[in-house]
Amino acid sequence: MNVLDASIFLIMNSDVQNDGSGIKDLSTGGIYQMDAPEDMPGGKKTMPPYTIFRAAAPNDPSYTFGNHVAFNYAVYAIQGFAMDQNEGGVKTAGKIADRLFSLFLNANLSISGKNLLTCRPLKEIAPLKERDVTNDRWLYSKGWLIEIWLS
Amino acid sequence: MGVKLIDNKDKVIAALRVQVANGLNNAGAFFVNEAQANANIDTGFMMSHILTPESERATPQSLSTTVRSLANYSAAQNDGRFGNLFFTRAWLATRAKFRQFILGEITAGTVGGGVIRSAQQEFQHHVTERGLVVTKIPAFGGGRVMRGPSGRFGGSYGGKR
Repeated sequence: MNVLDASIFLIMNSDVQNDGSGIKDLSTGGIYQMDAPEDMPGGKKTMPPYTIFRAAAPNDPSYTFGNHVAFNYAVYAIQGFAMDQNEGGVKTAGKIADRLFSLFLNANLSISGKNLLTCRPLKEIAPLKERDVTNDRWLYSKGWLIEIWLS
Repeated sequence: MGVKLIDNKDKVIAALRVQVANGLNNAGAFFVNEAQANANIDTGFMMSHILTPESERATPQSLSTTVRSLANYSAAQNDGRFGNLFFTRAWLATRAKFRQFILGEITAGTVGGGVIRSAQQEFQHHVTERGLVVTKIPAFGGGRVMRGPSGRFGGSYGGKR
């Protein structure tokens, strides 16, 4: 996990709200990069709802003369995954997506060795319903592409 | 002495629409290639059905191109828990190059001579070694008028009189 990945994880993992609407509150199954672990302690599978973030565009540097890094541009796909439990999975995934928008709009990311130029939602990741065959359940997801400029 | 201004806006717009359509279709082709390169492959069905339908390509009359992944599991392959964002990555790569696709066609286009060249052909200046500004007057069969550095009329030659 590089410094940008760590910063994104930290801001979500710290997001606890009084009304339970924070990403940490809603993602009772955890917040993960790339995928939720298949095997948890005790032989259990990761239980939704959880949040997954992954890089959608490489964090390529742009250079000026003398190989000075002018800026970095990165795009992350961040989605909440949920199943039907106390409330419908669609609703839970929607709550996570709504909170992701608020959290990452002008987010104050702290990235070691870098200056944050801007962070904002770029495009919604449309709601998706897919079959979790292993656990015989439907999985619902929704989220946002987040673009981040660094110098 | 005078200058006749000719409104060729319609010709310029027509040439521009052809070039923008070419640029859009080039962007679409790039998008397709990127998505195919990024796609997960098992049978190859999804990868081989990422395309721009013939009816949805840009034309001068319809400046819009659509790229589709026709396999019904494409969304899950892109956004799903086990997806690899193949379509999103292609969109981001195309988006980063989109201005180049469009502007590259406009400045380098051959149809109609390109917008910039079309505009230039209608009203041409060139400065001679003596500092004279020579203006081509298309309406006068290629004739020229010359003005000195101070703007005073210096003479005319060529063309129909």
